[in-house]
Amino acid sequence: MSDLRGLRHGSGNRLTGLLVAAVLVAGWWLAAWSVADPSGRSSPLLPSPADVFEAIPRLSVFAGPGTPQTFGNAFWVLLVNTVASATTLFGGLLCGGALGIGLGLVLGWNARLRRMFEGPFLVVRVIPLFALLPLFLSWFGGARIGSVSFVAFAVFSMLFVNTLEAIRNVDPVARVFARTLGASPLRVYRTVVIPAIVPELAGGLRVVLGLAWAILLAAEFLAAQSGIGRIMILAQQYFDLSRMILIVLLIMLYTYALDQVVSVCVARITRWVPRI
Amino acid sequence: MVPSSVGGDAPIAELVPHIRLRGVSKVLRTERGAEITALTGIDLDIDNGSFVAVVGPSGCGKTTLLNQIAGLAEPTEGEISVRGRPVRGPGRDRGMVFQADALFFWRTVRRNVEYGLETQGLPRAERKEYAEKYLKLVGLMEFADLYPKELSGGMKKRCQIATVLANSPEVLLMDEPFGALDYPTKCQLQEQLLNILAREPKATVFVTHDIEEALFLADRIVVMGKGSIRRIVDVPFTKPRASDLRVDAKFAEQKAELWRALEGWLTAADETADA
Repeated sequence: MSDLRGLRHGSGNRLTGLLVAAVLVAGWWLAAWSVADPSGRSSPLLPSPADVFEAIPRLSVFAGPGTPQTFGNAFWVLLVNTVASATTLFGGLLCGGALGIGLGLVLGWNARLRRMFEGPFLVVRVIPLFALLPLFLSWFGGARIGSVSFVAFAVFSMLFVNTLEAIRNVDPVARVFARTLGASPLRVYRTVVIPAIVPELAGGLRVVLGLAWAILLAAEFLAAQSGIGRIMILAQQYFDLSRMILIVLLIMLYTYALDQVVSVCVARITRWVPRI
Repeated sequence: MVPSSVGGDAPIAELVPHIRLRGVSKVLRTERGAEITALTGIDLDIDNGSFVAVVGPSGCGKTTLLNQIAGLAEPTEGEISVRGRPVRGPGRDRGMVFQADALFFWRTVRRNVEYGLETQGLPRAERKEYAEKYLKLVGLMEFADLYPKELSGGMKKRCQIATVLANSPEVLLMDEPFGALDYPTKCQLQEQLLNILAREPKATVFVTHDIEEALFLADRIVVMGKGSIRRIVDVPFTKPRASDLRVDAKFAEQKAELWRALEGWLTAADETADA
């Protein structure tokens, strides 16, 4: 029943989304056309959607000088760099997520432990994330482990706070009820607290995933040898705005696709959550 | 047969009062550090299979009393024992039905009812059998595979009661369990509760501020005011009780009498306390 409602709701959203996208593209086209020179050539500062499409084969250059400019080679370049970026992203998410949630769960177990260590760990929250980037660069150079650590650090700091907050918000009645049914404190933690925090953690994870792309790109702009952020910087060096926009569109697509997958998963694992 | 000295033998259970409270006092501390006396010198014995309702104005210590028996808080003074064992912390021998929705929302109704059984380490097949027995008893069998969010208020309460009963506690503690329900649902659940307790007698302490509910359910009514017991009233109706009792003239008479007396008991004792 609620699944059906969800579906209908989803398809309505999709239609609106397509409409908004169409309006945006049309607006972009108009803007590009209005700044084009009289002969009809686009301004290099604002290529039209058609220019961006024509720029696709030019991505082949990033496979190495002299590579024939074909759609096939361009696709290959995108694939290789996407795999590189995705590896960094998920590596960072996995390490940072496991550490953040794990440490949150350890500290959430015991009030005294929490009071002792929460403060020091919360310091990570006030560290300006992007100011750390040069430090990571100095430590790791251009090695991929540097970008992975940077993403992991960012994810850790967000999910750690998220986990502690979620544990704080668990309904005390359910905990006490489990105790009166004979559950030991450890059992209550495992069978009440942990399942109860899943929806809040999932929400936090969704926010983190959105931000993780931005964090990853920042790391790749500065240091990486490959990856989507890396080819973005290369395109900038050619002053080729068509290719830059192309890459931006690609990142938008990835972010959207990932969010869709995550939101379906989150909806599935939080289907028990009472909503008003 | 070798007589065993410890454990759940009926003869011993009959000799020792099931629940025994002696001089129980509780001082609570407010957030600002002030001290409030929630209970003073409570003495109470409750036999096995006996149903005691605790009534009184809000803030009189009813829930605090229940929490002490449940072991959720320790009395500042005095001693509570259940079947001769002093109460130290919560335990599965004392099941508690809360006023709030105490449910495991991430589990289906069936798995909610199985929670205590899992804690006991019962194998899957036995858990299923037990859970279904109590789901049928409270009339939730056809909703066994729904999530709690899909239940009405009355069904949520039934789910909670089934969870507690399936865990086969020796003592049943209920904190205004039907307070938030509509009148017909409330009456229906009261009758179901009596039916269940007729089949599986337990010492029951039932906190309520509804005098009709107390009269209909209880064998004895404990009237509390400002943290102490003001009066204990024996309910004259025999069990089993049918729903017609509610419209019986004697029931109305008892209710009216109790109403009139209640105010007197509460204020008179306050005056002596103030003096």
